[in-house]
Amino acid sequence: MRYSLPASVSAGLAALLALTGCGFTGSGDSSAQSTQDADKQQRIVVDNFRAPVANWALESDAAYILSLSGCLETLTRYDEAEGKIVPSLATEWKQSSPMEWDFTIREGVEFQDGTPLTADAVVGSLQRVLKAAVPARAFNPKVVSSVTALDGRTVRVTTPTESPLVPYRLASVNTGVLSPAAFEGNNVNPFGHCTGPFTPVSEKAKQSLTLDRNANYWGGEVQLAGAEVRFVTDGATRTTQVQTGEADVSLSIPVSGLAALESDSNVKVLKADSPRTATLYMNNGKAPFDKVDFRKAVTSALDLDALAASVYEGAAVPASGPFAPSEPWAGGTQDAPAKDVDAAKKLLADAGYSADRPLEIIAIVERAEFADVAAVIQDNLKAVGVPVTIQTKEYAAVEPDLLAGNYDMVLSQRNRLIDIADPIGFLTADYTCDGTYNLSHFCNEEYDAIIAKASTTADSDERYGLYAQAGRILKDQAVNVWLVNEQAIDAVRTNLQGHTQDPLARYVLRAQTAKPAS
Amino acid sequence: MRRLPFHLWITCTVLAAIVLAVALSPWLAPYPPAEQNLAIRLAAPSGAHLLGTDHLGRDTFSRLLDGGRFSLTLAALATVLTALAGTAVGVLSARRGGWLDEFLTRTNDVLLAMPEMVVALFLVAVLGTGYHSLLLALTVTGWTPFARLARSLAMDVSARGFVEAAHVLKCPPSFIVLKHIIPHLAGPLLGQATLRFGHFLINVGALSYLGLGVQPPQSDWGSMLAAAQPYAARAPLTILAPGLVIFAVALSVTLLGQHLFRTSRTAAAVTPTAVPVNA
Repeated sequence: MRYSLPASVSAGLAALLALTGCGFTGSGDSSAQSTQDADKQQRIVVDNFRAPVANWALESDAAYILSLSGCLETLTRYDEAEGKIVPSLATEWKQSSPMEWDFTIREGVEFQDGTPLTADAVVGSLQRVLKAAVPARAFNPKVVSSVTALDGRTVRVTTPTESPLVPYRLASVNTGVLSPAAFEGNNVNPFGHCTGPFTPVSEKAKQSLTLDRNANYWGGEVQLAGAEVRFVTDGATRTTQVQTGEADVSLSIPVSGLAALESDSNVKVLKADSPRTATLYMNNGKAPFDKVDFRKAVTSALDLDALAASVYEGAAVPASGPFAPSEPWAGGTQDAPAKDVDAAKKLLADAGYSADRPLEIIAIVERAEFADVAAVIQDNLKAVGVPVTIQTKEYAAVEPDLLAGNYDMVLSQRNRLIDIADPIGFLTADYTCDGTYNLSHFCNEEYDAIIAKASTTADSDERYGLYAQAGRILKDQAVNVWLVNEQAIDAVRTNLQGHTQDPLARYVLRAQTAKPAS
Repeated sequence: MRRLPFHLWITCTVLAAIVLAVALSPWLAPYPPAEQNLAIRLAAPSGAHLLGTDHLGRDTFSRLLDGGRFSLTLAALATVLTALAGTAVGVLSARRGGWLDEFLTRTNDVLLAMPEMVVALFLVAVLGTGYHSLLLALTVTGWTPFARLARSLAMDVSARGFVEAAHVLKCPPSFIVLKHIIPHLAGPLLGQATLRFGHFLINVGALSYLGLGVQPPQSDWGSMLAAAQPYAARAPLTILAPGLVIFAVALSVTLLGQHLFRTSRTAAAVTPTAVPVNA
């Protein structure tokens, strides 16, 4: 495979995407809201929902904060609108052998400290992540053997087995590139050592990060003078700050704050499908869940529309299967299963179910809404004659039992794209016979064969087709009940320009983000 | 009988009304407390739902009555258990003296120095959520004030003439404790118990609020508060109702406890050398 795109075309495409608002799958482009000229002296405030905890170590979640702040950039990036990997600090890449990928580094890029971006600098930064004590899931020695510089502009990434997903791994924010000077001390120092449109200038520990414009940004003129990223863990505070105008962007708005923001003409609420589906996991290895008819009966008994409308207050949509409909591997739009009490009762009879013991749902306490979700499910199942009890427990306390198969049902939620912008890791770990996180204890040879084939398929369209096939098997076998697809909800002031919502909150401050004079 | 102050009449009336309503909840509650009707979630008060409905369309009044059974019962059980344990430890410590007194008193001091809620949180985290864990967590940390009070009172009573006389008459120690000492401790300990009941009620509410109480869909006042928090602006009664009931009960028992405590202290001061009839 070979992917090539000149820098100018790439930058132009990025600007065009932003201007036309086709950068994501939700309704969140706010660029059309204000037609006033941007004031290049403006600074904005972004309220983020988490604070850095690991001294800016790139293998940690701190990388997300550096990325959304417009500081950290990666060799490639995943474009939600295109559904594929696009160039960033690398302009092209090719699979030179089954286990080797070569990336060509963009010319003319300088770090914010003035040093040039070279293959050696990229290798140094990536090796630091690779050798971390707790390496990133997307980029660790199990999936990447080595990173070497072939020449001044080419970086070679070698994998232990054939992998078509290396460009996806290099879109992970954990593989962001910092200049060699960032690694001179014991801690990572991103200040002045990124390549992005904004450079961090000061930090209040666990409170905020202040950034100034990078006047030498390779991707075009930066429209804002600077920004402050605040770490506001309380959702109600984030809601209030964007409503009062104290913040221009608030990420991850809690459901309880939606009504107030949606009725405010100065605020635009942005929603996009997130790669998270709240799921009722059923232990397929244990009676009565070992019978497909019983699992289908549970699916038929649940009222997903009512669940989405009540507990999630419309901030989630009923799920039709293991993927969100907008994902390119979903296999087209499908309706969520409808509640059918009669069908559920018939399926229970076919499965030979006798309510000889109450079944238990575990609702993990880390997700507060799961207790209510469990109560609704309990009510739905009671109506078809399946008695259920509820236990709320911390996830860490129940994980050994879940993995060992000592449970009936558990409510949980997984991010399908937590490692890379491709669900192969999720589909392998969660549903293959040898999956390391196969909570459902599901095992199907046909499914495993499809996933094995997908893991070596380089063509993304073909691979996505295989994922869709795998998803259909999971659905036909009613392995779990996929309850609702959660949505990423952000809020921005309507006068903000050039903002495009990223459901995973990786990209917020961009060169084209702008604000008119007030 | 001395005349009860007016504010205590009100206190007793409020407390009795709440306890009676909670005790009769299976007959008084208009709906099953877990019955959901998602079509009328967060409904305002009406003839059909006196206090409106919660976020899952459950009748708030019914859940308040049902939840009170858990909150009040647990607080009462914790009070009784800690009073029994604390009194036993305090009297034993006072009567035996020596190294045992030293050991029990120092243990008491150590436990008193530990933040009660932190210890309770730790125990519930280790033992898991649920009725029994919560009760144990409250009891393990809650007996110390009783032990301290019982020890000082028992030492005081032990120095009195009628106890000396009982010793001279070769009465067995158990007889002296049960017939001469405990009756003199009853008044102050009852006052202490009512004060502690209010304290336990708030602690049960706090632990339930943190999700360490009953399991859904069962209700208790603390978990009702926690569940209603996101909807406080839209359905204020869902959070006001359990909050006010906790406040009213805690205030009532505290006022009552203070009165009992004062009364018993006054009685003890008036009759410092009173000899029981059977001494």
